[in-house]
Amino acid sequence: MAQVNRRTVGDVSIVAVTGKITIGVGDVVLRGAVQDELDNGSTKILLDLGSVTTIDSSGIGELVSAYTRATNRGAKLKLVNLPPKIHDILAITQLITVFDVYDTEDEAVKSFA
Amino acid sequence: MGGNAVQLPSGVVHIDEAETWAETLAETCGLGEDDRYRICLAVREAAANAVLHGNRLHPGKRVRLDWETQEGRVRVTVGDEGDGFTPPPPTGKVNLTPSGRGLVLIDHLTDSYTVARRDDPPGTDVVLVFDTTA
Repeated sequence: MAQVNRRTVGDVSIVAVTGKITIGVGDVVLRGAVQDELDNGSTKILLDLGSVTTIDSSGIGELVSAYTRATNRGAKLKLVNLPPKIHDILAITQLITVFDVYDTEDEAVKSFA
Repeated sequence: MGGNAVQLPSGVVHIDEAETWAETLAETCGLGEDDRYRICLAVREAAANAVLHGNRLHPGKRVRLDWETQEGRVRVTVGDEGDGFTPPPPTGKVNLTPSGRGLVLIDHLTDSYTVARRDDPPGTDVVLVFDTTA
């Protein structure tokens, strides 16, 4: 079961996901959280995936959808704290070249400036 | 059906059960964390493929999971009762759509895999092979 914790640092909305981003549950939670941020007018969204334990192809698909939806609405969506296995999956799907990925929250927040 | 086999209904909610089944087989085989991770995720992907693209969520069709060990390898079969599916052809470009990555992950997580039509009963078997001796 995935959970999200949302907070802001300056004008950056940080969405921290915990648990599994997998088909049917976690992907839906992620979709809802990003949509809420966009509906609230957030234009700088940072997804913290440091506590994600598993991601499957549906979860990866949801990351792509979130990125596309944000970009289409003039917002920026970036990733931080990728666990090695998620970094690995983004690499083999070549999506690591699409997302802006940061090692630390501080570095990621500053990148939005 | 062999002693290791289970059958699951064709619903998204049952894909988690496929992963739980894979966790049990990994534990039975005494596998380490890395092998456990790749078997569980590959079985999850194959089961999702069977439910969504093989059986197309048909309530009367089942997904069959079975496994065996052979000379340091774990061989898992994920079978559906569908009419077959056509994997998307490689385009050489980054896939920016929400779907179409299941077999890419399976290819990465397994040491080899095959997709074959089955005549009796009709369906498709995806066979995942993991070398567990490394």
